Amino acid sequence: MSEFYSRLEWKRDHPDFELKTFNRSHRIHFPNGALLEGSSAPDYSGDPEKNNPEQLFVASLSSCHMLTFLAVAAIGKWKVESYEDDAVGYLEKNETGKMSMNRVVLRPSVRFSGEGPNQEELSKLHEKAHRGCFIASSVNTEVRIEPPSV
Amino acid sequence: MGQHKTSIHWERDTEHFNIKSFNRDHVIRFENGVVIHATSAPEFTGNPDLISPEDLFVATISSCHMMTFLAVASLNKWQVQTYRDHAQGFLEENQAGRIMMNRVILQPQVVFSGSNHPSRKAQEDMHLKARRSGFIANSVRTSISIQPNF
Repeated sequence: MSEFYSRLEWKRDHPDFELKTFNRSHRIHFPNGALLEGSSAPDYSGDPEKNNPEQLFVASLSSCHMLTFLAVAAIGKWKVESYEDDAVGYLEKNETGKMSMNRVVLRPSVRFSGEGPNQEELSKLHEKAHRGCFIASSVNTEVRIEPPSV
Repeated sequence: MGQHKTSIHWERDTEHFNIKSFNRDHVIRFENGVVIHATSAPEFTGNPDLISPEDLFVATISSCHMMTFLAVASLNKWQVQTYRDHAQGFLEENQAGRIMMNRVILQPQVVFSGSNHPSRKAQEDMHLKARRSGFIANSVRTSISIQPNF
């Protein structure tokens, strides 16, 4: 259907290549020229100033859920004013004992113009967005959606 | 074990909230202060100059695989000089007819220093090991194919 590309480069900048100390910093380029400075998570000797894969994973899910939610809301004729989400992902052992992004909690806060949906309608919009979200369909992470109470 | 947080913000900047035309552009913020200007994929009315959730998804798999590969290589005392990867992700219907990031192809090119380099087989084994223990690879349903460039 459609294709996405990323290109990544890492270069050793220490004389040795010790597990504890080798530089994790690398660059990720996209075809449109956008650039991300990557590293590993601070728990794994990464540079906290740069983005680690776990953060990008959470960001991808949060962003995709929002874009799908907005489309679902537009189709349902709800007029959205703004959308914010403070998402958290948990790196922990899954059922098979493997380390993974086992759980992600999305906490979307949506403002509507005019009369917005009630709590039940809002939950249904989020459920529909979750089912239609391409990234949510691509992960085995448990994704929980916990909108703050209206 | 580890928590990873992101915050996203979207605000309508079109008068109407029409599925065809509402702005997809939004901002993703990380705790370290890094900001990503994101959007939906161009096929879904996104801004081609910005990064989409699908781009982030491909990048997180590529970046995590590299980090894990470097750790495996370091443990095996192979000294890596540079690592490059061209990653491709395919958004397509899975067997159940659901659209998802169904396949990702990584094409890592690893340069070693020193006089002793691992054989192709040894490199393939390290990629396999990295694939099995990659935290992000363990979190996705996507089929990941690793096609090293020797």
